[in-house]
Amino acid sequence: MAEMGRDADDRWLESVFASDAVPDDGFSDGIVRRIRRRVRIRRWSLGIALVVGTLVAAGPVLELVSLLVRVGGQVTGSLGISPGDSLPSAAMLLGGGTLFLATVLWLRLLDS
Amino acid sequence: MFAGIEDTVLVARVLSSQDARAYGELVRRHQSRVRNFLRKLSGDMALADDLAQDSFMRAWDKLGTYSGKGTFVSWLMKVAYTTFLQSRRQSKRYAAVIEQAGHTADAEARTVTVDSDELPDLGKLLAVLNEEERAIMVMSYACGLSHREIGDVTGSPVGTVKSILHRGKEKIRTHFEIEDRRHG
Repeated sequence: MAEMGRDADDRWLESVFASDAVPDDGFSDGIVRRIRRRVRIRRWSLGIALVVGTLVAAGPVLELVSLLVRVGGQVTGSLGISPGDSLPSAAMLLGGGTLFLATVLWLRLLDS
Repeated sequence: MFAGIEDTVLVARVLSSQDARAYGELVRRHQSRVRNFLRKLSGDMALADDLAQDSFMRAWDKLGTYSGKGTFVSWLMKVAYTTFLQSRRQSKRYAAVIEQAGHTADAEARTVTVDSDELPDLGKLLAVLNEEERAIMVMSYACGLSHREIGDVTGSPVGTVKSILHRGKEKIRTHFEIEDRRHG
């Protein structure tokens, strides 16, 4: 066994470890397909979660809004102001909220 | 389309607009090195390619953690190395491959005399090294990473990387009697 200098060792090891480049063979296309699928699923999941969340929350939100309207009516009544003049109706609030959520959802779908 | 664009620019593009095509270009550029690394580390081509796929998917998820310090390829290799280490802990398949390689090395490697003009079987050569030495030798000699890049991948100081490389070479010298014909 002969002593080998450090550089000779390194060159020898490089030749032992050397190998041809691995051909792509559709590997990168497969990764891109998986990523696109994942991005699509994530965006649709967000949209669906938004719709389901809205449906679940609609009842309690409606109750809260009507409660606020009632309280507002009592407060304005005690101040001698007609409620119809200053506070929006529950229907208007609900309509506005729904429109806002629909806009957010639509923007998300456009983005995807 | 992306020819001549630096890796860091492509990374920025992926992060800003979730551009899968830009990421595809990064995969095309580096898949060979990552797959070669994992093939040599695991000794199983099919397993290595599965790990490479997992590594690139994980890299997509974690791309935001790439700070731009160091090369993108060393960051990618770090993701691949972590994926490999995690799978090794879980996979019985990998354990079987390593066990087999170890038995082969025990049976055949100890007294092998190798002419320096001939190349020994890489599997037998790697089997005499422990896991850390094997990974660092592969990164250095098969993937061409610098000591600093290897340090980034393993989280070790450059001095430690050099010392592990030296220890690995000594082990190979001890286990394989290398006859040098180059000097006559």
